[in-house]
Amino acid sequence: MPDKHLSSQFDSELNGVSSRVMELGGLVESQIRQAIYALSQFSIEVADQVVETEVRVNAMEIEIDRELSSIIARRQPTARDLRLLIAISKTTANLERVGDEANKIARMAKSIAHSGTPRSLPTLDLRVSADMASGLLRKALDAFARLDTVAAVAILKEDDLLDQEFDGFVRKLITYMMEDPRTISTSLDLLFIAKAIERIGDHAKNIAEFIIYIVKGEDVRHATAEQVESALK
Amino acid sequence: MQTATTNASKISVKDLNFYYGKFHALKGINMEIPEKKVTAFIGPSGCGKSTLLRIFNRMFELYPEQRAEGQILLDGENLLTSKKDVALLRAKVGMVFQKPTPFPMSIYDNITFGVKLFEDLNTTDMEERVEWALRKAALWSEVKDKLNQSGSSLSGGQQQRLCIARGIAIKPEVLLLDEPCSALDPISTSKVEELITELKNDYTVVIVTHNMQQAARCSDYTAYMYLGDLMEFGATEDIFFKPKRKETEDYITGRFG
Amino acid sequence: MTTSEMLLKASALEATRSAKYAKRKRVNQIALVLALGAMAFGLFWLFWILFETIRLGIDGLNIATLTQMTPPPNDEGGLANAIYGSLLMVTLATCVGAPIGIMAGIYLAEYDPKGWLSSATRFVNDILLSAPSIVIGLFVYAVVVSRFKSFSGWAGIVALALIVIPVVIRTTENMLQLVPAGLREAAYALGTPKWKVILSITLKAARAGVITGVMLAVARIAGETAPLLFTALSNQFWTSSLSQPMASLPVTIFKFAMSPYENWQKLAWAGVFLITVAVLGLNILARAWAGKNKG
Repeated sequence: MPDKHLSSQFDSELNGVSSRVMELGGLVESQIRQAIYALSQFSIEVADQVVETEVRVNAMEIEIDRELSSIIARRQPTARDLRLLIAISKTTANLERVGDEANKIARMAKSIAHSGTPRSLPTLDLRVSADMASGLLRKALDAFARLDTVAAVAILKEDDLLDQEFDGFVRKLITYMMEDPRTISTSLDLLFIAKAIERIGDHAKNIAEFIIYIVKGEDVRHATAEQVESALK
Repeated sequence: MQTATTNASKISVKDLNFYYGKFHALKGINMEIPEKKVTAFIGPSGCGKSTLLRIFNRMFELYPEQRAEGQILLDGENLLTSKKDVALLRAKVGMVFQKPTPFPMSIYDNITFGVKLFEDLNTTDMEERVEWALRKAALWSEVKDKLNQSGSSLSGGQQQRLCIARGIAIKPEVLLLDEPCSALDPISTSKVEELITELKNDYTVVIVTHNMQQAARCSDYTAYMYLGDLMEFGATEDIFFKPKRKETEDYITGRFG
Repeated sequence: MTTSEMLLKASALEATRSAKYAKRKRVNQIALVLALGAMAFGLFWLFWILFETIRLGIDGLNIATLTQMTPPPNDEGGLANAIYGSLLMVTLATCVGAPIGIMAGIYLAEYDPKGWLSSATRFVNDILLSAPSIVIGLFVYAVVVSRFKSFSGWAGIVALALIVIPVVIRTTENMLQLVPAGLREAAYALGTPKWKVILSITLKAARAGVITGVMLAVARIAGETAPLLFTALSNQFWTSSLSQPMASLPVTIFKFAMSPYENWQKLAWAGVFLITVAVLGLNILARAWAGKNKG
């Protein structure tokens, strides 16, 4: 936040909780990367690492929320400070869910590795969109730290692309399953992974929406593109 | 300059300027005070909020070097230029001050003092009025057995509620409260705040407070003033959630005192 | 800084603290002794006066003193006419002077505190307040006594009233100024007209102080001799007519005390005792009343 409060304690508390959230974001990003690696390399080891990180992620979520309650109780924040703290709370929840999605991907990857896949399945596509989603999350967290509403709008649009990718992938999988019914079980696993990746994108989009909420005070969740445009005027 | 009204206005302030001698204390104020709602004036010390409040019942006329220019319409009539006796204005627009000031007489006489100025009530009606006023001020149960005792025998919080009862006993239409809780402890403060929320059912209330959280708790509309200017006026929940001006936001988030 | 250096600094600080404190304590004790000594000195004289007054006064005090009139030299008698005269003149002078003083005080405090008339009034009032009472007596002589060609009780009353008025103006104004502005504002805010604010609120709040002021004025004039010398003069006999010269305690004491006659001197002491008791009593009463009403 640009200006300083009269109470430097308050400032340091806000900075503290903001950096914790960034830390959580970094952790969750690494979860995604590891999950995708486990999928493409069929590594059970790396998949297990993702599950371990999950414990830390959950603990951090609880810690951050406790910190937030303390600040709200003691400081009675208003206006922008209030919106920031509310947004941080929701962002934390979103990040924790991203962690859950990464977790799901890792478990699916393990299950595929165990079953021994026909290598002809489109795991490469998944890797590409997973990188996209992970990048989107990175951008969202970045924009959140800078409270950059222009970047936020770009992220909203990029998530639409990710959704389209998902739809395309589903169609591809359907073709594979129709061609060779033995691949159905593994295909379903891949479908779940694709869904998880699409969800990660949605969470990144939510975080971007909160940026607009903090800066403009407008709640643009479930809003159309035009409504978002007018909110930013 | 911000004006906002969604209800009928009880008081309309138009281009109000106020001077303490040569000092220009209020600069071109335009404001609509909504009827039967609580409006709070907030701002740092010396911003003019108390000054503005005291114009509404022409208290400034007690001091010759203070003068006001502009219009203040109460129910459509400009109270600054009205030929009517100022006492009649003050019967309509009551005021409670920061420091509790019980008159040097019994509790009963304190309440009846103002009533006797404007109404001829027989003893029964008068007693009823006293009880009604004290009940409204949430003081009846505490003093009903000692109405003949001096007003100064009460605690600070009770004295302030006595002053509030005294103010509403004459059945005004507007109640002006000038930092009514600053001399009170937290419990008395909450009792008075509860009272304010109830009073707005019958009266238009304007409260000056330097405690922002109190303004946030008690009021429906808030005016933020700074150095004699009205910076922003709006619904309290908007001002405290999403103020329109940066200056307002800086003040309420404590980015400057 | 090492630990031992810190400990050394701390103990050095401790040492200077104790040394300075001891010095201050010594100075305090010296000052206390001097103050007590001065007080004892003052009280000594005070008690001696009271003691002598009581001793010599009680002697000449009996029923006769209060019932019989002032006698010729070497004859038995009392102070009845002097007591009556004093009571009458003091009461009437207060009844005339106090209302004037209170109303003037109200004007000064409430109506135009900063105006030119008020400043002038205050200035003149302060002069009158410290004017020698003999000057006032002579003034009333010139204006009243020589005009009507006779000494009279009325002239005495006028002179005493002229002493009461400045005192009451001063105390009334001060007491009214002590009433907090907030109280007046609260009354105005209810729509109270100015005269009612002054009467029912301000004056009532200052009531104790104003009455105390009046009581002190009474105590003052009860013992004034000089103004009565040229106005009421004195009268050996009983008179209830105010247009005649009238006896009063202070003047009678003056006359009797300066005489060589023993019975007169005894009566003078009795008179002194009576006045002292009256004035002392009034002062104590005034203080007690003020203290009771302060709370």
